[in-house]
Amino acid sequence: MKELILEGLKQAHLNFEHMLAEFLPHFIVMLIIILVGWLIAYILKVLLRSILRYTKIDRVSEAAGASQLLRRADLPSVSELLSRGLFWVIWLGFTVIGVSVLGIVSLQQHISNLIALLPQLFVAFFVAFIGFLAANFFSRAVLLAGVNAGFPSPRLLSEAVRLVIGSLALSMALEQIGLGRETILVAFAIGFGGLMLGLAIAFGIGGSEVAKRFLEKRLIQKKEEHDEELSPL
Amino acid sequence: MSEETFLSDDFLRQLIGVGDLDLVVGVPSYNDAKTIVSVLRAVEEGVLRNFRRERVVLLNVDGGSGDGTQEVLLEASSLAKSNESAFESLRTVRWITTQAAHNGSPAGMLRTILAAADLLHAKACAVIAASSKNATPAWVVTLLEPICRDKYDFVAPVYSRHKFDGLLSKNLLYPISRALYGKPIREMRASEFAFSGSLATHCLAQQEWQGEAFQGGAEMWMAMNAFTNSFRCCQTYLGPKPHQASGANVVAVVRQTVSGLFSCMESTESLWQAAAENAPLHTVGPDHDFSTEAIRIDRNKFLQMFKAGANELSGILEKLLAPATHAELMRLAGLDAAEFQFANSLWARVVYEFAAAYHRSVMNREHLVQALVPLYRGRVYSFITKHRSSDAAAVEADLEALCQEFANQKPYLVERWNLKEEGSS
Repeated sequence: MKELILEGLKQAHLNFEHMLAEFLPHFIVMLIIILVGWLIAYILKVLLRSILRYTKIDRVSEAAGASQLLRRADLPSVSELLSRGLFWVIWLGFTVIGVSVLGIVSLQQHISNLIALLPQLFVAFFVAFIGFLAANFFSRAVLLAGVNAGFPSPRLLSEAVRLVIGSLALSMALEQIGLGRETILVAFAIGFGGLMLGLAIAFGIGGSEVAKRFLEKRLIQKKEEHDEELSPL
Repeated sequence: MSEETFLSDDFLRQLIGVGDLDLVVGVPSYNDAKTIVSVLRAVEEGVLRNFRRERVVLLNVDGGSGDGTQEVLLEASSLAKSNESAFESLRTVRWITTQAAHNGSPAGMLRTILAAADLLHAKACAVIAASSKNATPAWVVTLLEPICRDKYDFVAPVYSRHKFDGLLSKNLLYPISRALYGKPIREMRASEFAFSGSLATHCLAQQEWQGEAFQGGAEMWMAMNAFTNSFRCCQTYLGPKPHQASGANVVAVVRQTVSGLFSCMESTESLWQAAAENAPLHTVGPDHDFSTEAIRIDRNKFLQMFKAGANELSGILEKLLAPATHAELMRLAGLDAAEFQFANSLWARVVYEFAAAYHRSVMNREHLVQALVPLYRGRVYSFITKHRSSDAAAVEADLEALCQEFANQKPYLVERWNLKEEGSS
């Protein structure tokens, strides 16, 4: 009896030793890969941050109003955001390679699913970012043009432009990551169509006088308008 | 780009056919069929009467007119040829016509004239716009004589104008050029001016043809090039330029001019940041002349557009201006017409803060310049209201005070201009 127990313990010890001997080198390799990955990711992050600062992307982002959006969302500057993004993508890539060395099939499956989503997430983020930049740029352009042309409600027009471009960019970004593709498409179509219909009805009912005045000013009183302008030069 | 590549083969052939000469009179045109004949007659008469011994070519550069301007010119110039003998000129005067490379662009037209003057080794060149229906034969000699006789390199015009004409020139270009460069040139964006062959060659050697500075106001860029590179400048009195209703798009003119000015300021920052002495500029004839007859202006429209603009663009203005300036503008936007006054000191501060914001690219530059338009309208309202019944002397005294204000605030401009990277923090 005592011998059997000792034999069992010895076998278990041998098994553990065998398992450890098999696992430990893989684990160390994984740790090395992750550490090297971290180092490479960190170097590339610093490099990208320097390049982005050199290209003054933050100034462009500030000028386009994107930095304001990021600050409102408590996010860092564009250069910081992009360099941090690169760091995480690279380090996660190395981590997956490291984990695959361990040979745990189920874990590998989950991680590879996550990794497969990363490029799409990155593209979605990029599309949304560009969309917000474009929305800000065009809404400001419309506001300035409206104010300088003497339109009655330039801010309304400008906000409508921002809303349309922003929601278009958001729907494109969500579609990119495959999040409720049909739902988003239908929701966007209904929302956009509803907005346009609403604006058309609102303009038809409330803005008929404005439209009349606008058309009269454009088509009939053009000469009189010019008579009142002074030559600036 | 070398001169040969943007000038057409046909134009080059015509220039080669002319050979070296003494004077060029350039007449840029764009849809000026109604006025070009009177300008042509004035220019031909001016040349034939006053430059009988010189070899002269009259050069029309058209910006792609759709109203047959060039055909009208060619027909009228051939008729004029038969009357040449009346002026007893020793040489024939030849017209050359061509189209500018970029349709309708005044910058493209001036570049073509510069290139022609350079290729023909002209000693002097006068530019008279085909739209100047009041051009007289005396203009040719008045513009060219300071160069031919007194060896000046750039001659700017002085017109007798209505006190409310050229308000952008009066309220912005004149005071700023005087404060920054020490050159009191009244008409920085004139349609008539003259330059020497050496200035033409110098300007052609610059690499700014596609830049905002040149495209925004080629004649202003040329004037700045002249006085920042020690070329001799003067002004000459051309006489009356009658008030006429402006069909120009004020927003486009302000945008183009201010972009050009700020861009010129960027390229010459080292020169104007060093103390520029306000040297008196020699003027042939009076250095200003305002007419004061009553004209019909809807002043309230300017005030309404200023108030609407300041309120709607408050968020944008907040980014561009110092907090105190922004607050002062907002206070101004809330005042009644009777109390409203856009003071010289506030206007100078606004312009300088916009210039500094442009330099630091606080936002898209096109947008930034457009945001100045409502404020310019506020300033115009204030100026017109203040000088409704002023005589010429009172207007001139106020302009003098404005110039002094711009000069006094120059250190503030330098300080704001050199604030590095504040906008991107």
